[in-house]
Amino acid sequence: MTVGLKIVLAAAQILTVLSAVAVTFHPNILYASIALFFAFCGVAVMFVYAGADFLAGAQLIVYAGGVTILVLFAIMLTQWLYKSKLRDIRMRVVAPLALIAPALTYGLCVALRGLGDHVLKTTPANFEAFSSAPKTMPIGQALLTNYLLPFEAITILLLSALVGGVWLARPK
Amino acid sequence: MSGLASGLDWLTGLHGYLAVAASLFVLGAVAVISRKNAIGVLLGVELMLNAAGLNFVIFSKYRTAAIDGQIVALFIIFIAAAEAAVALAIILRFYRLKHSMDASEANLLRD
Amino acid sequence: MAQQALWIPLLPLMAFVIQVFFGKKLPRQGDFVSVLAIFGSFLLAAPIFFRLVTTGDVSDSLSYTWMSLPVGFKGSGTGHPPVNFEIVIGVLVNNLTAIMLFMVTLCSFLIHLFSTGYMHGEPRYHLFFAYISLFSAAMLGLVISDNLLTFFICWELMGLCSYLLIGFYYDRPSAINASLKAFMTTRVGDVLFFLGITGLFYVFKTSNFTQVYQLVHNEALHELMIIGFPALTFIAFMVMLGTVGKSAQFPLHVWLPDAMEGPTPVSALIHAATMVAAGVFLLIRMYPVLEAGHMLPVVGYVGAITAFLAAMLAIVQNDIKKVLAYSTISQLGYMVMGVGVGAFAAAFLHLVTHACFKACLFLCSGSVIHAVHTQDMREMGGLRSKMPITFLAMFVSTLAISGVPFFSGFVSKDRILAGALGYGMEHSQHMLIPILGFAAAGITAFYMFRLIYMTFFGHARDEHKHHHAHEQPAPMVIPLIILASLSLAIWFAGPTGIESVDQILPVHWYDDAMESVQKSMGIVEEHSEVHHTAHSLAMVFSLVIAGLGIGLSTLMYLKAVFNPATWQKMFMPLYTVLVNLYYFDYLYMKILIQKGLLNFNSMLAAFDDRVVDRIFVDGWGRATLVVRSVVGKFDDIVVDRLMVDGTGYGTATAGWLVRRFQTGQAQQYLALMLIALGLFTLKFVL
Repeated sequence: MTVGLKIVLAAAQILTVLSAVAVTFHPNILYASIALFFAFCGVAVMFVYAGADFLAGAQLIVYAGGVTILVLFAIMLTQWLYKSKLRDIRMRVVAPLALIAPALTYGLCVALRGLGDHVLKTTPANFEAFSSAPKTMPIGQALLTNYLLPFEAITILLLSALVGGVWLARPK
Repeated sequence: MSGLASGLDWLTGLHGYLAVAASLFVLGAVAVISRKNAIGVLLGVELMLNAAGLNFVIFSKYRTAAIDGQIVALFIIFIAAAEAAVALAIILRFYRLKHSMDASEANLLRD
Repeated sequence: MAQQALWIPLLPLMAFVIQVFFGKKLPRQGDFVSVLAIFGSFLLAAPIFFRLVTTGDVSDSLSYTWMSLPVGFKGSGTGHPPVNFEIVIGVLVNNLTAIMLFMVTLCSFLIHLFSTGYMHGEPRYHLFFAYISLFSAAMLGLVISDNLLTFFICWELMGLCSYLLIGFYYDRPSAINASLKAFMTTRVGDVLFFLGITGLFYVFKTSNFTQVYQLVHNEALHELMIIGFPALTFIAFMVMLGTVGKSAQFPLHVWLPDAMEGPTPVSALIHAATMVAAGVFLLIRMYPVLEAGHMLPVVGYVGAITAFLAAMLAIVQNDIKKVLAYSTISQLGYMVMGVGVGAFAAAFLHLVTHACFKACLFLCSGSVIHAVHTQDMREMGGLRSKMPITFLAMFVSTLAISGVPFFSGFVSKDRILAGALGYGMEHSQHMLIPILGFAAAGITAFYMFRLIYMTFFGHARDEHKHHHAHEQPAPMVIPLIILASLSLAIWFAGPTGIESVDQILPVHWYDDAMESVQKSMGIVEEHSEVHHTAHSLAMVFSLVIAGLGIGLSTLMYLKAVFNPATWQKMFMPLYTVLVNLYYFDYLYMKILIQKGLLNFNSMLAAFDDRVVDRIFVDGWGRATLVVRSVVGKFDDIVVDRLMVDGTGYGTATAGWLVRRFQTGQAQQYLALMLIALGLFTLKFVL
């Protein structure tokens, strides 16, 4: 991997984290959701670098394209644009969170570093080939063979979520 | 420059991915807890789900170099989509009922 | 045939049910239902009887297992098949049954028919027919019973019916007293009879007549004892006491004259076809047991004494129905005496002939009472011209009961007296039995003719009543004619010895029927030389004595040669005793019941009050109270507070604690989840 590509990836990672910070702390929910869009896109880039090309596409279509638009619809249906409250933060929880969040971050980082070190001790045989190979066909085959049952279950879940969503959001 | 280059390598390697995922997860969790707006809560949940998917993909790559992790991440995307659809429908319903988006008002189950 | 016989009592029973529930709404208050039902029974009984007359023998039976009680196991221990004590009930049709069925249905039918005229316009008309239907049904059921259990059930049913019918005019205090008296007096006999049945079950393990007849000759059973007496003697004695109560024998005869309080057709029914006949029928059915229990002489004495004493009482009565009532007791005494002296067939024949002429007599008296509206013979007289048919029927019956030749009573009574005389000649210590029998025969003739003369002959003693008297309508007269014709001897007479006559008469049928009955019961009738002599002697004696009675009666009441009032003064002490009915009622009411029973009752009541109530019941109550308070405390403190309430409080406290966390805030739950996750990472941090 060239340095240029690495820089692109690093930029995407930084963009993702920054967008996530905006999502979390921006007082205007509209801007927060737009920041979420960029976070999704950054994650999609990260997927590409992790050898998950199909997943990146799905991420863009479903998350960036679908969920974000859905969220924007919901915001626009429920609030006056630009008129949302200045502070959308529950002040009561700030103090506990100021304690919990760093502690949790630290704990997670320690745990994940330990896990990562453990994983890096051995390198799989086909590591290089896997990273560059296209994944659409193997994923399609896996979904219709080994993962057929969860796949079918997911289709039913999606269908019922669709019907349930329509039923819940129907006018009186 | 070597310090910067090694930092870049660390960031683009397994540990960089894990660090980004952990950050996303904690930020999402903070959003879930601190946001008053129910849609804000939903945004936090989406961030947490993305962090999880990211972990699956990157561990799968470095551990087995197989696509199983990607399949699970794919299912997470599906489920997140379904969850978003239903959650937004519930939020709309809730807004119509209470004329508010404050998630703390959804407390009928308390008693 | 047994199936057919089963329907004979069922038809009147159904009529009873219909009458009780719907009688009031039916046209004519439903009297035709009862009449048709009993007529149907008669039509069912007639073929059986004619088969007996033509073939000389009928027998059929039917049995059902009523209940099956497990009483033990074969062998010891479990796993063996259970031994069941089966109570089998059924229908037994033999010659006795056939004759009884015919006689009872015929008399009942005629009485029913008579009642439609006699009871016309009375209140509770439909209930009257319901009761007499049940009465007939009970009697018929008793006749066809093949075991003592259903026999006793029907027996008691008749007791109930007699109570209801004697007290039919329950607005009269005397009727209520009479019905209670009848019920209570027969109850004494019934209870003892039931003891006898219990003993019978104990000894024979069955109450089926046929089985009893076979088992009674088993010598092993004669060894058994019940409360210190030989078992068979005990049973026989108790059965005899049942008859004494039901057939109004000495000393339980007091209820029957009072039973005259009921409507006259009821008296006819009780005296002729049903109730009192049941007692004699029981003796005849149980004859082998009586014989095996050596109870026959006692039975003979009871019968003879009853026949004589009741006949004496009949002389001094002025109430037409009372005279007939005492005559019934007297005639029943004859039958019982007949059974006692072993003249079994004669006794049964007298039962049948008596049923016919006594029914006729009662119906005639009913007819007279209906015409003159009084029962006192002193207010009657000279009714012969006003009521010729009634007079003729009653006269024929009177000839029959008095034992005048060519009438049915002569045939049967002569045979009983012959049997009694033969018995007395064989066992000279028992000579009192035939003497009392003959005396009663003479007295019977005397008082019956006294009745006829006072009622129908002479001048009218009450002009007003005589003037309004008239012959009764057809439904009341036809039964009289039929019953009177049955009082003729030709239906029952044995061979006369004149060949041309014997060819026409239905001779032999009775003797043939009885022969097979006696064979089935295992009775051997002796035909010794003594009995032949006795037979000839008895005929002469009874003719002479009956003639004497009739003659004396004629001289006193028709020709007025002797003045009854003079004779009354002459025998004043006797007369006083007779008018006071030998002081039996006084004895029973004043001494036995008031002095004895009531004192005994109050003693028992005191015992009940002091010992049973105070010590047992109250004491038990107090003991229970103490136990209750202890148990209550335990329950209150340990069970309720510690366990029940404790569980409740524990759960409530735990719930209260958990509820602190259940705020309903989804975000709070998520925060807790995150803390848990943080704690989870501690494993890696530390």
